[in-house]
Amino acid sequence: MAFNLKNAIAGFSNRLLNSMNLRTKILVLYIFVVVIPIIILGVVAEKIMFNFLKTDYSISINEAVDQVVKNVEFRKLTYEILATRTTMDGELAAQLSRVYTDFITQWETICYIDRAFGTVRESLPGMEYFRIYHRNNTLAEDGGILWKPSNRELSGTTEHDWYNNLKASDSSMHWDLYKNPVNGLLYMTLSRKITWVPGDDMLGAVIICVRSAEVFENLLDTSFRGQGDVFLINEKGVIFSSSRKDFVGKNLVETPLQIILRSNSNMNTEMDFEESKYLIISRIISSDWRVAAAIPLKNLEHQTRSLSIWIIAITLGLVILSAVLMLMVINNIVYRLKSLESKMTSVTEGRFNVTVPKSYGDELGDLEKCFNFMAGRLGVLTNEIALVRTREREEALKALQAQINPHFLYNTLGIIRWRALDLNDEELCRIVDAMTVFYRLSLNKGNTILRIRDEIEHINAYLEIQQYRYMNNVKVKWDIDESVLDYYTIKLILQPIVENSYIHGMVAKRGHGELCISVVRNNDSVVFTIHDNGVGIPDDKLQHILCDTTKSNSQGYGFRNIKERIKLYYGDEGSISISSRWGEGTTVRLKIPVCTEPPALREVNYSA
Amino acid sequence: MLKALIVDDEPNHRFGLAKHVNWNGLGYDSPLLAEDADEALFLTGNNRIDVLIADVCMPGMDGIELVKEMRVRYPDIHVLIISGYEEFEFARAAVEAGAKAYLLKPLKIEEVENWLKKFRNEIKMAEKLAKADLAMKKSLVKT
Repeated sequence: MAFNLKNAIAGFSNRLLNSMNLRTKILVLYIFVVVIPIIILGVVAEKIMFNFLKTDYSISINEAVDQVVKNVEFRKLTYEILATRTTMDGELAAQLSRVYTDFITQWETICYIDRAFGTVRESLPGMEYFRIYHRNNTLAEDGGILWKPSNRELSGTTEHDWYNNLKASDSSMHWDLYKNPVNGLLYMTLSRKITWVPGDDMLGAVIICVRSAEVFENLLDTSFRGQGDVFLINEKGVIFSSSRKDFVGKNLVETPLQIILRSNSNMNTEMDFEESKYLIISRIISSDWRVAAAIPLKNLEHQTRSLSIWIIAITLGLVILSAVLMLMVINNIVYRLKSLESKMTSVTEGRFNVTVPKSYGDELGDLEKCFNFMAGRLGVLTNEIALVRTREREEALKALQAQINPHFLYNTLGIIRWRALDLNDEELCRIVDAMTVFYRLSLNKGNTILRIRDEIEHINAYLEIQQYRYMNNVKVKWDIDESVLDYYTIKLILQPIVENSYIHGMVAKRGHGELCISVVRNNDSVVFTIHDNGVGIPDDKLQHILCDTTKSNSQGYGFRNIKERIKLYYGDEGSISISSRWGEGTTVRLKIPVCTEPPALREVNYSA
Repeated sequence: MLKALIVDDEPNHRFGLAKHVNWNGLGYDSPLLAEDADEALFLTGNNRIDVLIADVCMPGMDGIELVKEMRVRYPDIHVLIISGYEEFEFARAAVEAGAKAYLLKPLKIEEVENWLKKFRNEIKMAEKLAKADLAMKKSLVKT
């Protein structure tokens, strides 16, 4: 079954291929072998390059984000270390937990705190304030570093609430965010308990307030050189710093970027954001903060688009170039094959003097060279054969004539003539005389060349005999240009035509038979015209005669014989033509060049 | 009257010529007939012959040789050659041998008679000249 299917497919493709011409075959081959692979290669290359670019791009973006994360972490840690270092100060804890009885010691404590932490504010950037809160009733507050919670506003709430919340909290340190309603700025506060040991009762609290804009934004602005945005998000999902100012202070839930909150780990995804594709990268850092970056894929797309355009352009260029080359080659091959074909047709029609022009050094060129050589050789051989054949015929004619012993013939005719004289038969005498002339000129001492005068006399003798045979049934009209009579012609070129008028044209049997024989000079040619009003030649037969496809012994044979002999002696300067209408008669026209000297057989032209 | 000799191996031609040519009208006696060269030479031994009509092609001595021989014996003899061959070589050989005319078979009586007339006139003229010559010589001798 499978075998049959395979055979069927093979047969079908064979039929398909065989029905195509060469040009189509090569084109199909070209499309399958060149165009399709080039296009596939182009598409694959485009995909691979795109993936490479994307990977590369994503790696560099991730690296940049990691850098941002590091910077943010470092900055955050700086403040946390400051807070931690403050709370770990044993002296501070001791001072806060003391019971003060006099103003001096209070003063000393305040002085100590000022000494120890007074420079802290200036040491770090973006610092709004640095405060230490306590609830030691014996210790006062100084409004500089040392504060006591009261109902004053602090970090978006009151000092009491803040202090109590911190005290109740499990963690010893946390960050807060609040917006100052007065100036609209965002502030971040870092609060930390002061204890003797972790887990103990809170002795006091440290609060560091920083302007988040100053602390973080300068880390973000330069991260992607404007090609993308970074968001710092606190544990509550609020964006506390961003290169996009309009997002600062908003909760992520209110923004299209809420997707970031859905994952509790780092994420790396693509999404539509602000009407174009963005690559979203988010990292979770300490304190459940997140660093998120939204990078437009526009750049990547731009790069890949230009890459695609390049690849498409190169692919197209290759296809077009190869197509043009291919077409040139195909056209060249097909043109040369066609010209070979037409030249071969010429050869089959018998024209051998054809050559294929200007060959190249390829196989086709070899073929053309071979063809030219072959055509030349064929021409030479055919000419040789034709010449040999005609020569043989001439020789045969001579041999035949040689067999007729003229002496015997003329002697016999002489005897007949004496007898006729004995019987006083003048008509017989004239017949004998006509026959004598006829044979004398037919044999012509073995020569094939005679003067036109003799050829005319020859027809005349022939006609005289025919007139006796048919009781002067045919009216013969002569139109002879006397000036051509001394020129030479080949013998037996007119008489066979006149004979055809009798045998095939049946000019003597139709009544009112008429033969017109004219010899005129036309420039450098002598033109013989023999017209009869006999039955003519049927069209199909005339075609056969004109196309040289007649069988021997028929009417065309004599015609062809004359044609070949004229060609043999005169080449292209001589010609014979025949025109006839069935029922109306036949006209044969012979043309030979004016010959003041006997013409010779033409040599075969070997140069062909 | 002049005398002619016809030499031809074929009797038809001999008798044809003898019969159909108007010999007497042309000033000739009835011609002598010979069937070959030997007979011809024999006949000339007994007769004066003015005109020789010979076929080229004969068994034994052919027409050309006969003419040569006759010319040796009778330098004044007028010769007419008849032949079936129209090749130029034969005609030239005949003329070189001394033939005045070369006629092709089949013969036309008129042509033969024309030549015979011509020969007769020449012979008459020669005789007249000879007579005048002789008379002049005689008168010279007398004076």
